[in-house]
Amino acid sequence: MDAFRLIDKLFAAAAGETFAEVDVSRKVMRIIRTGDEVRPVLTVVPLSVFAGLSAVAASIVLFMAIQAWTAMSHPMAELFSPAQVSWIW
Amino acid sequence: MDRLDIQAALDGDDEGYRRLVERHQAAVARLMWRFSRDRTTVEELVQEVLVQAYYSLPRYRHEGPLAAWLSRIATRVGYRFWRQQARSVAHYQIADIDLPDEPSEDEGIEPSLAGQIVEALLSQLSQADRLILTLMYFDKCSTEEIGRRMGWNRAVVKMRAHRARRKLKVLAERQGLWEKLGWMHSD
Repeated sequence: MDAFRLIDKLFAAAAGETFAEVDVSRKVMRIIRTGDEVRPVLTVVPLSVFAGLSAVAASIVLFMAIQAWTAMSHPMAELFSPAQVSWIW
Repeated sequence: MDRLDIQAALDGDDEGYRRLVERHQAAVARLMWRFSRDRTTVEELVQEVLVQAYYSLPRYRHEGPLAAWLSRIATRVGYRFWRQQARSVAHYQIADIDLPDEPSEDEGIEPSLAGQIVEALLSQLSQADRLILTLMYFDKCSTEEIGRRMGWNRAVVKMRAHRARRKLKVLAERQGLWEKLGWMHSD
């Protein structure tokens, strides 16, 4: 017999193999039920917490930057003055 | 019947989805047994398919039977499983199988033995070739259906199927399979 037909025959025999039945309905339903409760907590809460913390940190930095800027007599000159000092030394 | 249970599940009735699981899990498991011969792994794969299907249910468009839609998800889950396993699992050889000492006179073969041999041969192919032959032989899929399930070009599937069968032939001959089984063959 042609080798390809033997391959077909082998697969046809293998297709007749019977397997043990599995019942996953309870597990699936449990995952779905717990997943429903967990999903929003896992996705929305960390995102909103990190967004909130970032906003607070950004506000603090902005406040300090404005304070420092307004305290300068000549902002542009003061930006370059530390560099001049370092060149002298 | 599926349509009512799908609607019930979408409306938040868990019992509707439980009925769908109970109705379709055997068919999904039959396919997943072709991706692993380990019962625990098969259970995990079936579970993954049905959980994924639940979360994808709002996108199910009733364009075909639910069973076909589930088979598509199952195929992708199984293929991903093979790809994850590819580096950790060693190839399974014909020599690892307990073949009968005396070849069968009527050239018959036990289905479970045939299953082990097929598994050993397929494990030596690439995952894509293995998937194509698995779907063709065990799920009776056409090249068009395989292409649709995996998002592959039909012509490529056809060419790969042809090449995969040739590779299987070479592998079987190199390992003296037909002689071991007592199956007469000509080239």
